[in-house]
Amino acid sequence: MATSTTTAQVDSNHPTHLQHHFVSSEQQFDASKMGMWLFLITELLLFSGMFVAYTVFRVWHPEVFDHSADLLDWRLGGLNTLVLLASSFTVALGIHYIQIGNKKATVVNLIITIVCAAIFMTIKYHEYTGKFEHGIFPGGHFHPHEAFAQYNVPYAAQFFSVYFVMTGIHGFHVLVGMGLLTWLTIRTARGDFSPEYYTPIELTGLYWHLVDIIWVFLFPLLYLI
Amino acid sequence: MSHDTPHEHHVTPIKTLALVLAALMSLTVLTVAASRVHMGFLNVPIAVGIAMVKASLVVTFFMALKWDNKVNALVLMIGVIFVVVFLSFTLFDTAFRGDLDNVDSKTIGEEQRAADLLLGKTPGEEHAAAATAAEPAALDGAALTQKYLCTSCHIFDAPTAMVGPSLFDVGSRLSPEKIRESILDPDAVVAEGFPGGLMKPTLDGMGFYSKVSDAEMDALVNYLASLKGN
Amino acid sequence: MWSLGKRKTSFMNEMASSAAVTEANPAASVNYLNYDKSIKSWLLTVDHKRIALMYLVTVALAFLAGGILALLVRIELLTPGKTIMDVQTYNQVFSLHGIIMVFAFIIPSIPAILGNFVMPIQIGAKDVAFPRINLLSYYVYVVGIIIVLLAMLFGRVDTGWTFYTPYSESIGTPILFVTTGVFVAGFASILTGLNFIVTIHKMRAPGMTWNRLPLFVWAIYATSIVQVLATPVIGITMVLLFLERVLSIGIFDPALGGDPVLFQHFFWFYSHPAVYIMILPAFGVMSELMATFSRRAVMGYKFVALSSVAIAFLGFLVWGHHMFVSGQSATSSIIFSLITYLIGIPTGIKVINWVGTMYKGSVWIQTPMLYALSFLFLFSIGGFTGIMLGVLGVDIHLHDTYFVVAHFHYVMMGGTVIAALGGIHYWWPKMTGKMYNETLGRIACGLIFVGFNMTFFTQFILGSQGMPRRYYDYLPRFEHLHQLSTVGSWVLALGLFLVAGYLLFSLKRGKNAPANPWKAVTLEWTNTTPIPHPHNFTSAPVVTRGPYDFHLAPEVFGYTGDGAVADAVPTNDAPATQA
Repeated sequence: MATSTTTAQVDSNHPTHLQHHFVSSEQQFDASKMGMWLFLITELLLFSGMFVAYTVFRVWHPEVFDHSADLLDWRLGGLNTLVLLASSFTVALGIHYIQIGNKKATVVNLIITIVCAAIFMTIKYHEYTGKFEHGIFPGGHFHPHEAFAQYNVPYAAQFFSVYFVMTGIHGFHVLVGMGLLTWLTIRTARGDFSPEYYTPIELTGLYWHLVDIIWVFLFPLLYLI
Repeated sequence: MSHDTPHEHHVTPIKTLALVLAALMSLTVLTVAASRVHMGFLNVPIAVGIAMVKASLVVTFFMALKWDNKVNALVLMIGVIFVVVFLSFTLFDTAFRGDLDNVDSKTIGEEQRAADLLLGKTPGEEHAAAATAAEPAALDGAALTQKYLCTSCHIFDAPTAMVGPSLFDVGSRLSPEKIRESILDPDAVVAEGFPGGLMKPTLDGMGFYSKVSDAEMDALVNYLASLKGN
Repeated sequence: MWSLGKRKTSFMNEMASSAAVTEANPAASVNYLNYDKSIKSWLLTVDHKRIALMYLVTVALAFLAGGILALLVRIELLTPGKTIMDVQTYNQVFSLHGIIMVFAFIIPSIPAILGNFVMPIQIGAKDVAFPRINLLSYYVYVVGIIIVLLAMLFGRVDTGWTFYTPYSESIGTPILFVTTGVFVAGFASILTGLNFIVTIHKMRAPGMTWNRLPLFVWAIYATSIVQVLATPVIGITMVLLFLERVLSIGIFDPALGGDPVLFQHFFWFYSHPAVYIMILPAFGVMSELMATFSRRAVMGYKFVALSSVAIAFLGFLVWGHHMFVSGQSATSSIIFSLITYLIGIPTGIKVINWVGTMYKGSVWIQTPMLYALSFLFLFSIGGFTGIMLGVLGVDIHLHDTYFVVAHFHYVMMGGTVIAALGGIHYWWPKMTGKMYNETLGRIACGLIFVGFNMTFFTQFILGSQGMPRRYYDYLPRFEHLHQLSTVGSWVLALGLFLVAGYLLFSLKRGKNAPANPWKAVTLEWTNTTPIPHPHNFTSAPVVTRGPYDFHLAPEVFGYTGDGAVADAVPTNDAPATQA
């Protein structure tokens, strides 16, 4: 008989995490990771729309975009960049530790990642409220106060619309990531994961790195050039 | 076959991760430093280039693509390629917008008649009739506002504002000299409540200033001066 | 006569065992339909086959709704001026017709129904890679469509399905619902595409190499790639349109300094590849039908498989051909026009290869094959007229006329819907265990073919004579053609209702279907009908033959002769008699 029959049976060393339509943990892990990468490129294409809008308006109005960027504080943006990069490091560390079975270190690193994310959001909050105080709102509500009258030129509103929408949607993704990381921390502490099964941490880590990468592009494009 | 020996997943050494972090942070410092040096248009590609290097480091080492199934790298590559396609093909339009102004403003029929006249031929009867009929029409002010697309931003027969102010009574508000100035130099006096800096780039973009003849300008100004708003 | 070679022995052993299973195994009477009949087991199922049937019901309802709206449009156009509704209502009716047909009907249609049902079985898998996400996809789709429909409660949705700015921003609250609904429904498409790609990569049975995949699977694979890459962009477009309305961000609104043509770029970057989401699965169905009903492997398997992938990628490079008269640069118009010509090539390869499959094959006329033949004729017209519209000078005259309307109905309805009907008829016995009435099937196909051409061929003429699209009123000289088109729509509707009628009837009173009424040789036909529960196969298949190796059918199934024999007519008996 040339057929293999193991798939139809549940055998004794069938681990609890293995779903029934998969043949092995290996297949399940590989499938999950590929699924996550596919999801990540959909996120990439989602953000790409805003990058296209940015580029189109920048090519049409380069001086306005250049000048308006002066209103963004590169020090805060740079700090946020370093914070997110560090958080990518800690989430990678978290995966490293669960792979070698050190649950405690995983939990610690996941918590540090969440803290970094919180710092990022706090700085962003500070930046946004600063802008609002000066009358700098997205699009139709863009009315900079007297002190910033020199920035009230045509198409500066587009720059700030792009800024708020891009960083806003990015910030939303950071919040979602914080939620996921919190859930993972609880599950790790509970003992749900081991070197044999840590797929959710792996997948969330991939998501988190993408959030970091998006910021790596946002920072120079919006703040620096 | 469904037995579960813990298969070997690649464990990235902490040292590697730390080195990558150090590189990423240094590149961040570099990108800030580079942006403070004014290199004209080069600033943009340098900033984007450094960002791409940083992203590659994150993807290769933090996301462990280096040691992963090649299919995942292929997935990422295809995603990136289509972002580039989206961006570049859109720019083919927006960066070259208005390139149609190198298309001749005369119709083929007009060119044919001009050629016939130069060659000493009498244009055909229907052509002659059309030629004589065409001339006065070309100097009809109202038709000129259609031809040069003034109607896309201004209303001429009602006090309704659009992108630009209504011109239905412009003749009773502005002198012909002011009307002429508002076409040739729109930002000299911007109407209250309307954005400046829009009309001039629009007219530039369509090549208005190089296409409009003196006779046409006169016809336009006369027409606008006749609009008294009744 | 084909030479069989050394593989014969292991086949006979392998397939003898599964043939024995199909006949004698009592467990086959427990199938995916009857193992649990509670509502909860259906609504919370993670079985790809049940999810496929839920999509079938919902998508069919969407088609009914969109179709009724179409009939209303055509009735209104019987006479110039007002016939049955005023102009404001008319604008909403045709807009809703487009929105429902595109987002609720045709994008899910073949992938969600036939892709879900057939593809995992064709690759020898137990289910898709992520069954729970599959169920989630279904509910996300339903919720998305409901949100879109809720828009009608808040005002007029009369933008056309294309929502061009700045008008779409000005219609008020409805645009918030439409954008949210489309965004949500888009997620369903993304999740399904993602699921299918991972399934095809990771869940193939042993021996099912890429070169042995049925062409339907290749088509679903290519479709899924498009879904994953394109749909996020309509997502961000909807977000930006929402924000434009709520925050006046000024990206698309010219009064605020934005660019309305930019909206069109964003919109069509998705919506053009979306038409390949619509047609690629139809191409896949065509390959299956052509192979089975010509009793021959599809000519040029590799070319057909790779042309699907080529179309998927090239489809992303042509979106500007919807925008030739929008004011975009001449540079981009020329580039988009050129690439539009190119995309005709892989499509043409498929059509030639299908015709080549029939040549010297043993053509067997049954209802699914009638639909396949209709497709060849109707889709070719649709495709050619698409290339015509890609010619810049021609498009200046034909853009926004009925010529365009006729073109896309020929490809979407004459293409996708016809292929979907063919596929539904083909796999109906496998999905439901019942056979429909063949005579009624042929009559309905004939009505649909005649009605369709009456309705839409006249529209090519209308368009080339200058009748604009989306117009409520028209010049008297167009009246006769419009009336002809409307009568055609009634014939078409009659045919479609007849299909629904006899298919539903077959569920209650149809003859039980044999396991393989068409004598096809892809993996789904090696099972009992309906598919057994809990797994698609009683034992995991090991694949050692190609998907269209009809010459191996005698060993595979124990049949003698080809498909067009007396015992191929469905009876109440157990599956094919053994040799």
